[in-house]
Amino acid sequence: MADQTPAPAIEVRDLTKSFRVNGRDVHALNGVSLAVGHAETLGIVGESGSGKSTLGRIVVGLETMSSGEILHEGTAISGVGRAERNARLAKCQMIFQDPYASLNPRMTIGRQIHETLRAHGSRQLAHNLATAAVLLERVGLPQDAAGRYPHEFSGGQRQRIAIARAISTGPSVIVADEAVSALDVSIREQILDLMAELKGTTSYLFISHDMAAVAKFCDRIAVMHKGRLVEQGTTRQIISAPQDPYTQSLLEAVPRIGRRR
Amino acid sequence: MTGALISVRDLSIRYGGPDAPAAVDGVSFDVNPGEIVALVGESGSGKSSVSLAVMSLLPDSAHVGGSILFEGRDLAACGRREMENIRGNRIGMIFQEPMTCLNPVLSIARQMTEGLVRHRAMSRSAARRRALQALADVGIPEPERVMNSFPHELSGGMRQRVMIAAALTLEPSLLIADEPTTALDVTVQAQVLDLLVEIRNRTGDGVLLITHDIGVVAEVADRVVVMQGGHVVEHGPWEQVIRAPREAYTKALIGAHMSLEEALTDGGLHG
Amino acid sequence: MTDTTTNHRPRRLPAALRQWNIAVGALILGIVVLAAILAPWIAPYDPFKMASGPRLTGPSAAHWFGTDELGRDLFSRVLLGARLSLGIGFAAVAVGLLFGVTFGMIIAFCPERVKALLLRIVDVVYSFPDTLLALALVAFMGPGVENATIAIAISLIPFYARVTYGLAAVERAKPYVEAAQIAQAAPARIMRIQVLPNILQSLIVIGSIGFSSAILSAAGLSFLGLGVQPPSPEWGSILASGRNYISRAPWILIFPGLAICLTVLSFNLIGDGIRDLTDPKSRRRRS
Repeated sequence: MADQTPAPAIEVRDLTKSFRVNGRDVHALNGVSLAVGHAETLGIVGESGSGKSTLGRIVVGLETMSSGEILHEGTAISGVGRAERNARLAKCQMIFQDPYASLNPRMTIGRQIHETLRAHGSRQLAHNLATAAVLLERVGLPQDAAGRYPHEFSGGQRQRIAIARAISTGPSVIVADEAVSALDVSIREQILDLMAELKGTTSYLFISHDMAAVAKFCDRIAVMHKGRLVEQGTTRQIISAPQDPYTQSLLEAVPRIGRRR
Repeated sequence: MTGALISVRDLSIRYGGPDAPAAVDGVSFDVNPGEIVALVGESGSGKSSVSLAVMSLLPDSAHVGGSILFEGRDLAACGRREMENIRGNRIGMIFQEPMTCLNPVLSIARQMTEGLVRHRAMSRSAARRRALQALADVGIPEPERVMNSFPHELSGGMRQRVMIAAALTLEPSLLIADEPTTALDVTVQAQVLDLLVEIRNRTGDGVLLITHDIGVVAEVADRVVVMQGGHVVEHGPWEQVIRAPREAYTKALIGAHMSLEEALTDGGLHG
Repeated sequence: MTDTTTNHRPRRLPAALRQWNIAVGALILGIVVLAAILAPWIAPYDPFKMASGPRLTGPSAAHWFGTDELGRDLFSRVLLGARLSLGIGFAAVAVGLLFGVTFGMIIAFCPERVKALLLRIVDVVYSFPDTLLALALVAFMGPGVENATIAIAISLIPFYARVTYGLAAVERAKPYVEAAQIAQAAPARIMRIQVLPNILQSLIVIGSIGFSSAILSAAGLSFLGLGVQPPSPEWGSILASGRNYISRAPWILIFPGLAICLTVLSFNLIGDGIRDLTDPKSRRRRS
């Protein structure tokens, strides 16, 4: 590309995902196109059934698309060989909603981070454990955390571990799927602050039904409804001047302190 | 206060034995007719234990101290049958996940009329009319169709409405709603909250709302009981607790609930 | 609200032995295994020597289990028979588990279409009773201890594969496995490092269930003359040789039969006990 502006870190074009249910095609995603720039955070908001989670899972390669195109740094991953496709997908990481199920209960925290680094080509256990210790300290956990098992940590701490694991390989894109939704409000804010602090040059696809969290964390917001993208724009545009009626009703429904029903 | 529907005094709950650390300690509050009282706290605050105690649903291993009076009667002194009678007739319960309370293999009609036929000795047809009316009252557009469907055929919001309707058929004087909107989408949550307020206005029932979401509390509660670590940290009318909180923890809870406008300026990640 | 931090630490052995069925099962199995190991030294007579005593005599102080139709000491033969019966069982379960767990795991990680096809195949094979399957295989391969062992191992594979698939499929859908997939870890390593440790306890339970079935199959094949060949003592073959004397000398059938029953029982007890310990639904004590 001879373009002046660099290609977005990740871009999806006309993404469609359909399932056959009782002989009928059901579209989980219906022609979704969006792009996340370098170091940008894009919030995907929508209610259950909007397809926002499916979108995130397709981006990290957990699910396949029915049709459409995914581009990494301007290169369509369907057009490259298997090895390069895997290498590109390895630059994507994910933070999950459930801090209990997203860590292996029978593996120490250090080993889990080692396994991630190992898959990324860094095979030395001692070296990886040292890296893990540094990462765990960065996310605000005690030094001995690497040698302990997940059940010894609270939900908020586990989410910190999941963040440490996700950033361990220096990914270019992190998909955070309802990453703070299962946490208490006070902890939710701490985790959001931590994610913002460690953001660096990573691009985020921040999937959430929590409007306030999205508004706090994201540069831009895309609103999804029933598998379609209904509106996207800067956070300020979407929150202050939503155009689509669905976005308006979504914002209207958010509980507000100072308003009475 | 006299005339309270439910009056909790110095409630303490210990799991495991009389010497175990208290999960709940020294909790007192009332719910009066026509009043929405919110019990708000994060996980581990003891709010769920309190709600279970009020419904007499605590496991046998729990040691309960203090008293819970329902319409002047001490629940601890009630026999099993009497308690079941109160729970079935006087107190309506709404839970977070309707699927755990609705029987998946029975039609909605069957589930909604069973209690009326058994507890109220109503005829089947009278019970059916009452159930239809209750479904209409909670804003279900096609009550006939919903009556004949099974729980899995309904959406989450619809199931929650059905559960509320089922609770209303027995004409309780108190509704206990334990995280009634937590599993729902925000737009559906807003509808269910509106519904709770409307029911209160129409029937004059008391509502005990247990939730972790201070935003929900701020919108509907008349009185607020804030719990942390098994204790009540602040208790008062909503105007006072929400608008002018005195305790640091309440302030922190309210502070942590970002309004969208705050989030915009607070984020600092975007210009 | 209770603290939801769950305890996943593996239980220590003494705690396991406090479970009554594990304790009883382990006691019986311990005696049987010890008898098998020490058989050459503790057997009062040479199990192959004919006319160690009079033929077809009932249990007595000299011959605890009596003697068989050739005057061999039955107690010595049952002791030595434990070696072959347990040996065949162990070997068959080990081989069956190795292949069954591997297949089950691979099926769980296959793409949707391939998975459906492989599962269908496994289900078809699994629908045959395992003893019948082993019988058909031995009939095809020819009789003998090795062939019987291989046949029994193969007959166990569909069961182990099916159960492993079920367990692995549940784990596979969990976010911690998905996280490893996103990191592009090799599937074989995900199966071995991430999934296997989390289904191991359940595999031990199904391993022990397969064990009792393997011992029954081994006895059955030997009884039909397709497994262990005379004069080698094996519980099934002892039964077979004694069947003509069932009315005159029932002890020839009772004692090896009892040995089979007790061994099978011990594995079932241990399997049930481990399941009780690890299944949260049947767990009595809260950790």
